[in-house]
Amino acid sequence: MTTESATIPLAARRSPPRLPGVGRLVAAVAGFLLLVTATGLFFLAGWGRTYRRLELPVEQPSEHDTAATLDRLSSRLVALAPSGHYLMIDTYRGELRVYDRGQLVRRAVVSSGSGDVLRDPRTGRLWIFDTPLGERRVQRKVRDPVWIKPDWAYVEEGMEPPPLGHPDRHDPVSLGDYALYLGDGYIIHGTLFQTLLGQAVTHGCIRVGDQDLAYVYETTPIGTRVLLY
Amino acid sequence: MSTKRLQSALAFFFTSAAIALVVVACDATSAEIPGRSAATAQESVKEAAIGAVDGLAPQQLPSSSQAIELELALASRRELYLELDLGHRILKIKARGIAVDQVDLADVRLLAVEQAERIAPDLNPPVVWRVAARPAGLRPVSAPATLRAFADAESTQIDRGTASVAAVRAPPAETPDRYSVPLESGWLLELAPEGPPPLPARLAASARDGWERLRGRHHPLPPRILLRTSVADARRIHHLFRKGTAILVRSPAPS
Repeated sequence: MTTESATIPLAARRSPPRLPGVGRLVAAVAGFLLLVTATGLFFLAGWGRTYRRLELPVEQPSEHDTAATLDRLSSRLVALAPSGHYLMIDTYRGELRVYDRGQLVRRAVVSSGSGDVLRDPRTGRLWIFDTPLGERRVQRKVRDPVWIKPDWAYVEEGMEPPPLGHPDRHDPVSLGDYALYLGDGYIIHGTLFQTLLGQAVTHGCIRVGDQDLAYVYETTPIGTRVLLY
Repeated sequence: MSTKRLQSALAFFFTSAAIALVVVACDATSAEIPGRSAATAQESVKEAAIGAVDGLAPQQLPSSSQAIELELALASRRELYLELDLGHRILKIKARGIAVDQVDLADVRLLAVEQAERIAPDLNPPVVWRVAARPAGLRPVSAPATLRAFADAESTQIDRGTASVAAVRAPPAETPDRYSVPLESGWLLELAPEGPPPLPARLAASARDGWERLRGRHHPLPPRILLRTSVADARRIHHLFRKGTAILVRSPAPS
């Protein structure tokens, strides 16, 4: 009986396979380039700046931190907070909340500003369709409001705006049944586009569904504080 | 050169490279993340701060008249402001002195370059910083090439009957979940869902910086505050960073 190994010449078994001449040269060059690259990278990394983590600073106490002073300042801070009847609008989640004497009494799905930017090709004027953040107050309330369309409403449609006072600027439909004016052209109003409620699609106003808007309109007096965030 | 010699040379090279990499890695890691003693000290500060407010809500910091006075100035205006509590890793969204929302941060890190000591430059909490510019992203500019003349016959009035049917809109672009907010103080606020970049990325950044410096280009590397948030939270607060938004930076009181 003969084995397979017995048929292989002894020299072939003992000597490892040799790289041809060109292969050895390529391997040597590749190794050299790798070495140079790695050395260069380490050198550059050493020359470059590295961010170091810092310790958290500590707040140093003041000699004014007496209990009486802290109470007085805290009271002034608490007095600034809204109380009674007020609205809060979470623009990211698309939610309007009505509070009465600190209690949440109603939630509504709303649409808020898209954040888009519109540019007038004639003048280069920019409009940024953000909903304002922070506190506003309800300045006036209107049933069956008429929207006086600003220039951007036409530019957005690729149209030159008509003169101020033009009848086409009077839109009795788009604001829905009620409007609560917050100043600077920002309004809490109704919408024809109920399917877009909850999305950031408006030009900065707050759009509310019909039933919720009727509730907000009826229960919210003029002067009510509105916190938008 | 025989194959054995070539193999030996390659083995020597790779072993040397591996050792060098480990050495550099250790160095870079120690530069980025302080040693155990520093981390422990930081935890001690945090625990001390929590202990100091025993009986109050855990989010509350020990009161300081300076911090309340700073907040009073912010709360007396109608603008929204943020309160960044470095010690308890909380970012509160506030208006008129009340927190309307808050984000729990997974991690907070202060980073700076060329800082001999591990002390944050120009950061003495409580302090109010303001956003210098909005973070990038998500502001599509709509610009019709030309405007056609308005014609009286062309009414733009909406038809109440068909408007709701026509209410379709392309889904908006996704809000970024990692972004940088430049602050007027010179610091950079960075929000991201993960921690600092991995070692290879840090090495690459360092090598890039070294290359730029060798070429004589000294670009500033501002000190940074890294806030690690969830993806959802980063997107939720992206719109709050508008130019001028105030951030009240708080830190633990000494133990």
